Amino acid sequence: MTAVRFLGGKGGVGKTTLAAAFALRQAGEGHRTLVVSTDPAHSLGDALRTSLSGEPRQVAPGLHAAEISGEEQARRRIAEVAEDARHAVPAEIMPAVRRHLARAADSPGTVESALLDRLTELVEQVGTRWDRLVVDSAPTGHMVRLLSLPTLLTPWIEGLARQREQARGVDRLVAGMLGDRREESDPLLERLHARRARLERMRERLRTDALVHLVLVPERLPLAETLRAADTLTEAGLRLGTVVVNRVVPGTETGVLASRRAEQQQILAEVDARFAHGGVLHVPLLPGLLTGVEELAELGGTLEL
Amino acid sequence: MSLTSRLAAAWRRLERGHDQLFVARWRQGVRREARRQQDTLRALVLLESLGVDNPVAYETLEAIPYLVADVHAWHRRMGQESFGDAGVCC
Repeated sequence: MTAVRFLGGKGGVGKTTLAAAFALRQAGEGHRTLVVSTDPAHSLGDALRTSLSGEPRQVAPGLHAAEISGEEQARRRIAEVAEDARHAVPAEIMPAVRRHLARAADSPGTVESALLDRLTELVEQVGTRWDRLVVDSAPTGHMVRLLSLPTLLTPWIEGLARQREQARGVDRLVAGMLGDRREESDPLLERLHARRARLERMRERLRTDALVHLVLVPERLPLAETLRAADTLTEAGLRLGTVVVNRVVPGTETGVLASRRAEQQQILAEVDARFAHGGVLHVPLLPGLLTGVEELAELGGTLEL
Repeated sequence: MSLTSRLAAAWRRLERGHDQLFVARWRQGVRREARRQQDTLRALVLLESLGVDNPVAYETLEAIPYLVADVHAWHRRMGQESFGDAGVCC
């Protein structure tokens, strides 16, 4: 049983509802479960009919939920770094340090990296605090980028660390010639190595301990996006779990819905052809929207992922 | 002056000459290399100051205070109380 599950797909296909329902099912089976939303436009709280924050809160027996945000995490981390710096560097340069930190915070990519950082914290709690982690991801592109970030960032950090090591090596050579052979630890290099190790662990964890369930509705555009996402995720070394096709019109319908069903059948055939080997699950079109713990738990009962 | 002390003096002169001719130059070269390497790292991490996007800005946040401290120590060594560009250091 894979402990970490991502539900991802185009906006509006029902990821959040399905993630909440699946998490309720896991909790119902006695697993300590956490469901988190990483979508900047959070709706997990709405689905569960409660209000959520960045800190996990119990929403049902055995189930905690949280809505995490990159901005919030970036703010917190910058405050931490500034606080640590107050003890490590001269006071007169603190204004400059704060300015550089603020600029780094505005850098494109920072919010994503921060979100990944928060998600890493939660993934690291799987096995101790949680048995299962269900992630209601942002729309496909965003999720793919988030999940491939560790792979993208590691070489950068490695490059920086190597650069620092080379500079230190030459420094030591000079120091040796001058008869000054003090060995100092390098806080910067240590931090770079720690970041790299953390990203590396997350990448490994995502590869071995996580499944991505792509969610789509049986229509042309979501299908195209799902096929692309499947390729990119596989390339990034992630494993795909059962694909969920939401809002499938049942065969008993007549009229308008019957003609929609004919269209859907074509798409479903294509989905089956591409994903047969990982499994495909159909969720029927329901008469109303499901919200709240009880309704979602009922849906969860059908989600064999 | 005894032969030994004359020889010793000659050896010291020779050593000094060798130092000036070869060692000093080489040492300078190595130092220049060290500075170049450190400058590259500073530039990489403080890219935003130059208006260049840094894809790992978040991952290197912790390095910023140390690099600013480096720049600060450097401009002080150069005899400048302030860096000049107030945005970069003090």
